[in-house]
Amino acid sequence: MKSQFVGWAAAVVLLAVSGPLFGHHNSAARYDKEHPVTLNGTVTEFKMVNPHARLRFDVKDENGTIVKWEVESGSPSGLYRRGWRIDDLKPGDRITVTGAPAVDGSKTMELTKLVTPSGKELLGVG
Amino acid sequence: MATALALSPLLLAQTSTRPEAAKSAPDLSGMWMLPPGRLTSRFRAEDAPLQPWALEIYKVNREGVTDPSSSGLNGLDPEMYCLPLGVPRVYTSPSPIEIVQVPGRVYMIFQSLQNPLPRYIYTDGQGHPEGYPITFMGHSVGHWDGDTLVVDTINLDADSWLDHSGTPHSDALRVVERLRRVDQDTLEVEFRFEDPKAFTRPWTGKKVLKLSPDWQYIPGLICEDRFKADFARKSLRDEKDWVELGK
Repeated sequence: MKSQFVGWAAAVVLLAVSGPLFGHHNSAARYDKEHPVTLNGTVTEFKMVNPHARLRFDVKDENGTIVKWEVESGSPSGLYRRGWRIDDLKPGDRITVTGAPAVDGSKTMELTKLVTPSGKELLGVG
Repeated sequence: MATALALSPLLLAQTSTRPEAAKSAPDLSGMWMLPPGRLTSRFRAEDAPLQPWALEIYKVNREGVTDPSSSGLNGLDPEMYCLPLGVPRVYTSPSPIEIVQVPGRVYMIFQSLQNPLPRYIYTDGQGHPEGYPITFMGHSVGHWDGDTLVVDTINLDADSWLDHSGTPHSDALRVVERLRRVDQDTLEVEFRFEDPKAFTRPWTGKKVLKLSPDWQYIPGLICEDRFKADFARKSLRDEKDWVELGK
């Protein structure tokens, strides 16, 4: 019981300092907009949830290893306004994604453009 | 019969004054949005005339930030602690403001996830109530000055920033807005900020909003992910989906 509480408290502290998953501000400092990348991959998760949609996809590197990427795209209202709909992407979809990679080297990017299997182009917010 | 005749001029007079009354209170209703621009995060290009203590806070809020169009630091931003933007900061958000005008009341409904609270502006002639609590939206009363809605707001929480830029204020802040629909698609809002505890003199600003009728309201909270992770952990519901977000 005690150890469970300690774990819980530690998690709360982590959450408290991490803030919302993606901040809105100062994204210029977090992503390298000068060097965008384009990747082909397979969607593992897509949810139009607040405050930011969650989009994850797998990319196979030259050695055949799966690299897991996470995409910062925007809020549901911003994405909806740009034509995104909840059924545009589902796990298993092959997509082409262009965006600015995180400067800290984590496999996270700020989305510029995404092309769905049906050829629909989805633009990121911001 | 005689009574009916005697009343008829009065009836005439009433009907003839109605269109004029309507003209003096134009309809501000609509979904209003800041057009994209460089300085949307502030009320004017220059910084506020802050007293030394407030200037110190402002500098800390923007430490290392050189571009005037950039917001203050995330780590010091009340928004990042799930607090609402409040009045007047919500006007520096790029998300639209819906105005709903009914007799005696003007409502503002904010599309920003950072400001889920509605705003009530009382236009029925009542003043600010005595002993009203301090809140992020404050207490607002309005009256018509010709075609302009003049709104007076007090009782504002000093934990809020005045703008995205990170300008601090005290609980003595008074915001006077003058809202005018200059044409069908344009709403001009002039601001006067008085804060004898934080400013050296009154300060002014302006925002011009454009009608954005096709906006879809998608309700939400800025910290929904954090709250969901907390809830998932406690309820053991859908755990790996949301708890993962806390990592």
